[in-house]
Amino acid sequence: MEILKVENITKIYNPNENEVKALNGVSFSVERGEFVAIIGSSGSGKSTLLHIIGGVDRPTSGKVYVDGRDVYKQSEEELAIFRRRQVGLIYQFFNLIPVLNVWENITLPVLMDGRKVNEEWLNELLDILKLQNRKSHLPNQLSGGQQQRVSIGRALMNGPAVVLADEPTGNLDSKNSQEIISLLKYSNRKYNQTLIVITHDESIALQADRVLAIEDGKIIRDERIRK
Amino acid sequence: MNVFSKLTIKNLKQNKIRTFITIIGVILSTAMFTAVTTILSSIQTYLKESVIEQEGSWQMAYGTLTSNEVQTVIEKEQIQTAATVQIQGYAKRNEEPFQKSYFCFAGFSKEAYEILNPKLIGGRFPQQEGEIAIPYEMLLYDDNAQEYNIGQTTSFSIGKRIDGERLLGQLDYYSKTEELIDTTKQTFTIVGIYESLGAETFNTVGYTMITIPKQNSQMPQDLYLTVNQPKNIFSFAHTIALEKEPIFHTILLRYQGVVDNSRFYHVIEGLAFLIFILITGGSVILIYNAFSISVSERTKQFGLLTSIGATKRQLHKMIRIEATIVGMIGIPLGILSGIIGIGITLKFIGNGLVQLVGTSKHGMGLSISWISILTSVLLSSFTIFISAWIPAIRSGKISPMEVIRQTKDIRIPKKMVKTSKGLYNLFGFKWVLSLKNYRRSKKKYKSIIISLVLSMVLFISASSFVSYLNNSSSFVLQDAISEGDIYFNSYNEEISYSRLKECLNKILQDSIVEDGKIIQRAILDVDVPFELLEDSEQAIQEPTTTIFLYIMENQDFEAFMQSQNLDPKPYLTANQNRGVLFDQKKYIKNGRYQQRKILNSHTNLALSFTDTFAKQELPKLIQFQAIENIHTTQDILLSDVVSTLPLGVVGSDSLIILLPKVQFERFLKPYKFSEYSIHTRLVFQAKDHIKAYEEIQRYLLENGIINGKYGNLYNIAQETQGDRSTLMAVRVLSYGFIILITLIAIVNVFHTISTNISLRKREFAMLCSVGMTSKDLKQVTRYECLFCIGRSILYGIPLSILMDYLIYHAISIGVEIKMLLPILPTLIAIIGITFIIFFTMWYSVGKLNKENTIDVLKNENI
Ligand SMILES: Nc1ncnc2c1ncn2[C@@H]1O[C@H](COP(=O)(O)OP(=O)(O)O)[C@@H](O)[C@H]1O
Ligand SMILES: [Mg+2]
Repeated sequence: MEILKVENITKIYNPNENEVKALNGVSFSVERGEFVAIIGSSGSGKSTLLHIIGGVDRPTSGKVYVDGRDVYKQSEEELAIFRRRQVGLIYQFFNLIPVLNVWENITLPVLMDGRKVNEEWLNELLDILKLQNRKSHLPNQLSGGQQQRVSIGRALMNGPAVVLADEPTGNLDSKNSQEIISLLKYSNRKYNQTLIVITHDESIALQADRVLAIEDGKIIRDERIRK
Repeated sequence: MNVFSKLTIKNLKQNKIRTFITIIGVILSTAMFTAVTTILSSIQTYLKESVIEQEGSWQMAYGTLTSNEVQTVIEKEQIQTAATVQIQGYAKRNEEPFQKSYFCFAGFSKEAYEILNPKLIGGRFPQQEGEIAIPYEMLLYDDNAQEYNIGQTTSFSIGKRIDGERLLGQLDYYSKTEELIDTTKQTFTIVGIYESLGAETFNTVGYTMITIPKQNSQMPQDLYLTVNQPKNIFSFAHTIALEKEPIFHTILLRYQGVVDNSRFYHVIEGLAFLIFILITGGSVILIYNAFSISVSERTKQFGLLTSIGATKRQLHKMIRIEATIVGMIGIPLGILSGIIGIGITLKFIGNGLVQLVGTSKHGMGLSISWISILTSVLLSSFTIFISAWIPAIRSGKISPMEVIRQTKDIRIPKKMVKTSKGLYNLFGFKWVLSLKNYRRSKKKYKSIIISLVLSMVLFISASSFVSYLNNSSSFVLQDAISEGDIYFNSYNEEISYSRLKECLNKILQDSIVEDGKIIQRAILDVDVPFELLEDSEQAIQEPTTTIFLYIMENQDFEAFMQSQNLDPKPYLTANQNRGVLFDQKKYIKNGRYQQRKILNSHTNLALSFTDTFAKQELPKLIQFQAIENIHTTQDILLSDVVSTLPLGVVGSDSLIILLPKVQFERFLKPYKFSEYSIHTRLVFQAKDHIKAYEEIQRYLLENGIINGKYGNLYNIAQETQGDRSTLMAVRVLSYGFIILITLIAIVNVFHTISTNISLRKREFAMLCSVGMTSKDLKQVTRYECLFCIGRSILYGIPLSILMDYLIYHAISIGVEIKMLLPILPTLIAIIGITFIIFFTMWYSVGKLNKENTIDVLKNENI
């Protein structure tokens, strides 16, 4: 079943002076539960694409459908709620809120939604992420790997349909990197989530179901590695 | 608790110093708003109360109504108090049409005493028919005042004033064609004298003689009213179906806020407006800065929250929560400290403020009005709200992506990158780097510079405002020169010395006055040879010197001499005329009292009248060689010099000679003093000088000595106290003002700079990562400081001079004054700003260095 469909996306930065065409007619679609790796050299437009899928940055033209819904037809308010419930974003720099502790950082999307935290699910997450006894630590009391696990927890907390990760291991050593990828894969399989990961690391790309290669804002290769 | 409130509180807690300073800022500005509004409301209450004290509390009135008409009005439920004054008739007083040509006999009801508020200053109010109380003003202006004293019985021809068909009353003006008819003779005994009847204004046609109302009479009545809802007084007046038009007590209604208040605010316009602008400006900038900083510090946080699905509304809510928390702590504290501050100020200087606003017997108290508090709450909340709102909107314009990448902060416009090699060689790398930094972040520096310039302008204008006030001569005050609390100066020969002395003795016996003296003063123009004068230049301008002769009762003189360890005997018994010299001239220089001598020698001096009687010349001050040369009958030997003065003698800029009465009688009686150069003075001392003043006035009055007519009774104690507290008032208010403004300015600058630095964390980290030491970094920021200071001075000084001119202009309308360039405050401001900037930079960079800079790049938490 198709969960994500990207249709002829173009993104132009600085449309007036110093025009940068970050994406140029990108189209593809992703099945539910698929694990997709996006590779490409620096500045090729990977992050831009990911942000457009995640509903954070608007495309100059083209359409994005998630679960059959036209993402950018929504109002600002609906878009925010879409980001909150349907998408989990993970960054290279973990982007945690320094004044909030682990527990609060992870549950932020639920709390923001004004809903009650599902303690069972939270405990399961904390177990998976091995953060049970770090619950009330502040981000600056954690190692890089732990911080990245917190941001994964935050991305998964709302049970999103699509998890998007922008070089999630770019800032970690190889042991921590593998751990993070295993976590993402585990969640991808267990909850049948769609996972899209941008990476420079070939060994990570090879663990995906499918690899998209981008160059100069265009998809130059779309390879299915396994079914 | 909601996650946003929680996050906000955590943010506030995290940034303790900034939060603290923001709250201090809110407290300061709320306190200032409250102080200003509370002072205004205190002034308004004070004005209202003094109007009620002087003119009564009536709000509207009808003249000459019939009993039926009175009945229809007072039945209305909107009326709070209704007071009738029965107009029993008029008697001719003189033929001058506009100068109180009648006596008006008016029967006062109980309510009339209450809301017209006549104050008894002698005798009592009438209790039975045939008794009257007369107005004090009448005694002052009437040549036959002696005829109208308490106990006197006088008969009047009393009739009706009519103009054609129309019956005229106290509220009707004089009409050219009016007549007095149906007169009958009636006799009245004066039982009291009263002061201040509000309804009897300058242009009413007759003096009101208060009597008791006649029962069951169809006489016309004046009706004075207070209503339950003053706000609706005019519409209420319309509902009364009378032919007569009411008159309104406009001044009172104005102070009660019913009639347009703008006139009242005109009084305090001008300067007060400038002050208000300064305060508001300072506060708005302060609070705005605090919030824009707090918001921009967290743009990244907002960006992140957006990316994980926070709506704009939720983000705005976060800012609102922050504003609410800050406001909820700051506003009540600010209001409290504003009220306490003004309360304390008024307690000490209330009397002085009264003299700035007007004059009255009672001082100004603290009046807290809900409206004024509400106004300051609204003003502060509005300021906070606006201050929180604008940065929120601005931050909303940046897309979350840009924020997360911090692209806005890092991107460098192309034209700025070019720097010629020459510059590097000329100034060195750090200078060029800081110059580039400065140029590149012009926008960010703009806020620092605006803040610096405004702080500078605020400080300099506040200081020049104060120095103008202190320099205007109206604030140079008499210092207390005499121990006497109350003086009665009689200029009139009709009141003899013995009568005053008799009166003094009575007062000393019966009243609360503790001590009293009688003393006479004569002013003499005297020839003084140049060589005797200390300041002979002055002497050329003024050929004669004035000498004050004070003539004391013998036993007072004796007591005084003994207190000075001098022998009084020769003065009282010897064959030689003798006087005591006092030579201390007081004058004002640079706003302060200075003292010096008039004569350069005090030995062998005598005041010679030798040629005065023979050749009709002025008396002469001489310095004799031998005591034998002194004429025992025509010269006053100045055998002692004192440096203190007895009770009742006031130091001045002239020589003073003290004599016992016996000398005066024997020697100076024949000298013909001009009519106005001699007067008798009663001096009193009393702890409760306000009450004593009233008692003395009453005693004098009952002895036929009318204050204001035959002499003047002064409450010196109150005047000097008032003067002193006026000066205090000006000083306290103005220095308090400077201090608050300075605090605001400092907080402002601190805020702007520290944030600016912490926002540049990343940039600094980058510089460090390419090998810059933290020492270099500090140096770069120091140079940047210098650029800021230079810019600020460039804009600040002209603006300050402009403000200085505006203040000068506003003050010079009322007081003659020279324009002063605020050089000292400007220097202080420049030094202060330099200090604050460097301190803040040092603090912020120091704080930055504590964190490992490279970590900032690597471990990119927001
Ligand atoms: N906010 C922006 N403004 C202008 N250009 C941008 C902006 N963000 C990205 N770009 C440009 O768009 C192109 C694609 O960037 P990005 O998607 O970050 O590439 P990648 O993630 O593959 O390294 C690059 O040339 C980059 O410089
Ligand atoms: Mg990228």
